[in-house]
Amino acid sequence: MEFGSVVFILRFLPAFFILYYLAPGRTKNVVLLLGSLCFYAWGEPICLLPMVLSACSDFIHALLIEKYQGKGTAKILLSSALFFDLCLLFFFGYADFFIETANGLFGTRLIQIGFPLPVGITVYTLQTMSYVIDVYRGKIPAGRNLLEYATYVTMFPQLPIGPIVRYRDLSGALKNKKMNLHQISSGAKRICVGLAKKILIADAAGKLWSEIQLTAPGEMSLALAWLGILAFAFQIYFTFSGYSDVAIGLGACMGFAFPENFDHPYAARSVTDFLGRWNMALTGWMKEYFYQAVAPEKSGAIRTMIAFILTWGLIGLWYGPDWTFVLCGFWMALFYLVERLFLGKVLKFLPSILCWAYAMLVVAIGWVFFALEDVTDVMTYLRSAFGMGSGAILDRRFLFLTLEYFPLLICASFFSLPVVSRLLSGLENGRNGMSIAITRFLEKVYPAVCLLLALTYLVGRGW
Amino acid sequence: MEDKKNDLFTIGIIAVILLTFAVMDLLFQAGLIHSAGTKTPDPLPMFTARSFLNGKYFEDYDAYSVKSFYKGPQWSKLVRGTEIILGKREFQGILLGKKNTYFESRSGKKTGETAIADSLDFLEKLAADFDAKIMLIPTADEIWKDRLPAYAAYFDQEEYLDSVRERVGEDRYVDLLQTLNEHKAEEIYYRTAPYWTSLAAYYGYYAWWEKSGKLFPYYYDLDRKILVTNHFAGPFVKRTGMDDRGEEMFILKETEGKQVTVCYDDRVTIEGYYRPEYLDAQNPCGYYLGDEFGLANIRTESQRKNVLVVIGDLNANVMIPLMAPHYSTILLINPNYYQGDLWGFLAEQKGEETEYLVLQGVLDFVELFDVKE
Repeated sequence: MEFGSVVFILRFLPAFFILYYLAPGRTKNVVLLLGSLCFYAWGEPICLLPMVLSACSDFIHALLIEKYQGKGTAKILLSSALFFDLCLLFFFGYADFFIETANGLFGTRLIQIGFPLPVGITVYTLQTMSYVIDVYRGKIPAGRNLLEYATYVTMFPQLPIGPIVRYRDLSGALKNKKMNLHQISSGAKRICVGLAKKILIADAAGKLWSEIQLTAPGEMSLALAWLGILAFAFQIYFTFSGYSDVAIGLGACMGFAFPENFDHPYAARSVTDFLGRWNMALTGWMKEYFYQAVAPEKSGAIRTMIAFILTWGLIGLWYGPDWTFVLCGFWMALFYLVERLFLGKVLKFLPSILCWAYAMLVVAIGWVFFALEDVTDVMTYLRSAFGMGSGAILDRRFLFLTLEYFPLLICASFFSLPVVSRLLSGLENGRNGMSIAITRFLEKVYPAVCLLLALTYLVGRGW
Repeated sequence: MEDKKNDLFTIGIIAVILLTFAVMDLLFQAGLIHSAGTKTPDPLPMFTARSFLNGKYFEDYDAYSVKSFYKGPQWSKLVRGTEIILGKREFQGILLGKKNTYFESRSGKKTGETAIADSLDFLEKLAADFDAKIMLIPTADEIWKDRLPAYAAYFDQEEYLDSVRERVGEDRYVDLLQTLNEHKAEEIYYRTAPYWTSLAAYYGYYAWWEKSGKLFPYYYDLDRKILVTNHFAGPFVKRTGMDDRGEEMFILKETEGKQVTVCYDDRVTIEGYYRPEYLDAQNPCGYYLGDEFGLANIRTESQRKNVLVVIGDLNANVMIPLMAPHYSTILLINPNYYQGDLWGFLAEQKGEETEYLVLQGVLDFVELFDVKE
């Protein structure tokens, strides 16, 4: 089920929350589990299989790991649990990708499985892996309540794209939910804002990007190529951050505190800064469970560097089975390393605007890798973007599309930078009765306006 | 206390909006309320074990749930209206130009050089082998360029038509670009459809007559035109779902009530040029001689034993009633639908009393040669 669909917003969500709030105490977990299974099964019922297998495997493995804690058996059990998780992920999510790569490299004719990448598999696999690793490391006791554990694994809000949550952060709320009015109100606001980001901005930016893609990369004018990058940058940011807002909001309404996932990444003044603001939960997971395992503290420089590049390659692969995602990860990692080596020191002496321009240039090029499936297309596109293609500097298509999408471009720029929050806090700090009243009024009204606009657009665009 | 009131207000207003939409949706789906335009919800998607397992059912249901929302078309108009106010001009591949004129968008479309070259070769061969007259009709975005939204893409038809004239020779080329440009201030194209009107066809007829060497033109009186409808809403309106009041459609008095039979694809024979049943159809331009046929064999009242073979689209349908008095038989081939061997068919018709004519919109004609990969 998609967050930005009539079925989810107008049917699933009201029915779910009515049942959830009516359910007493721990039965809320039953409602949440059943709701999550319905959410997940809607669209791809067959994809429940890997999720159930993964949840059962890790639940049993964790109990056994705890039993043999401190012994060699625990390590074998951990390896077995992780191996099983990765096999599921590989088979259901990445098998075709590797088969295609092998066929391309070695000229083999291996038959592809043709199984669609199940939604959320990359999220819940990392969640279940972190659970068994934490049990192995002794950070948490193994869960003994299958219902609570299954609820954690299948929880629908963060399934589409995160934020990835750890069992240790939710186990308290799974046992005993403490909900208050303020938490629900904040959650509801986040849901409205998230839906508006996805339906009003991300989808429109996606449409612009699709229209730009009608022109072959080699024939694009320089201006059109950059408009395309901008459209894609807005599409990907508002999709991910919109979905994360909805997930965090839903979590809050249910009594869970999910971690923040995006912190205005397009306001970053270096690539390091950008990476620290983009999909923070995923980056945090990779750092804790992969990077630190491969290159523990005091590791040599080369090992650290290799671990770092591998981490970012895997982060790229997490987004989908495509080499261009991996290349995007490597591209970002390269600049992160350069900044750590020397550029970071140089940036400190440059004006903020130049630092921001440099960071956005690197990110923009990274998005070209992310947006296109073919490396040749990426190179052709970049040639056009830097004026080395067959297109002109400026063309009618660019001017037409800029006029068509001008309000979108303005809104997306405005909301992707921390302008609104600064304006609101500026008003609130004004210590002036009027400015405080305006802030309060805006805070009360804007979620409703966002929701109303999103719903209107959602039901109106189908015709 | 104040914070609690604020929180309650926020939750309340969001819940009210969400539930209002949800209840509207629910009651409408249950058939308890009806909305104009969509009296009953669309039929539910087909549920089968296969469609359930491969996810197709859910995909269709998601689309269905949006499409069958209460008063869907009105919500759509609201969204469109807002987008127009915000400056959007392209909807579903249709451009909304000045004076409420719709144009087919050429955004991202590139007419291939091969298609252009192939189409010119085709015309040259047709002119050389069959002495065909070439009458390509510039489309509205050429003549009414000034009505296009700013910076909208368009195909330079003038340059293409110059090449056509050069390849087929001045004698066989009927210059409609100049003719229509002279009348560009008049309603020579439908605002809501990609075709010329009876008025443009009237000007086109006289341009053709001058070139054709016919002794006398058949005289038409524009003052005696007959209004067919003043709510003509062409396919562009239907495609975009715009709220358009429609426009006038008229025919020339002299073309009505003729003893004419039209046989479509050797299957169905109908009398008369006009098909009123098309006025409420998806493409009301089918009013002129129908739509979606490969070959129409038109027998007129003329006592002459001559034949006109026309390769043309719906634009040709508009003009054929005006040309009919000069021929006893008109064979109209619509290349968009014709499945047979075109060159073979043209050769079969060859004779002293047979004339050939290409009468088609420029863009539609060139696109025939645009072979998609």
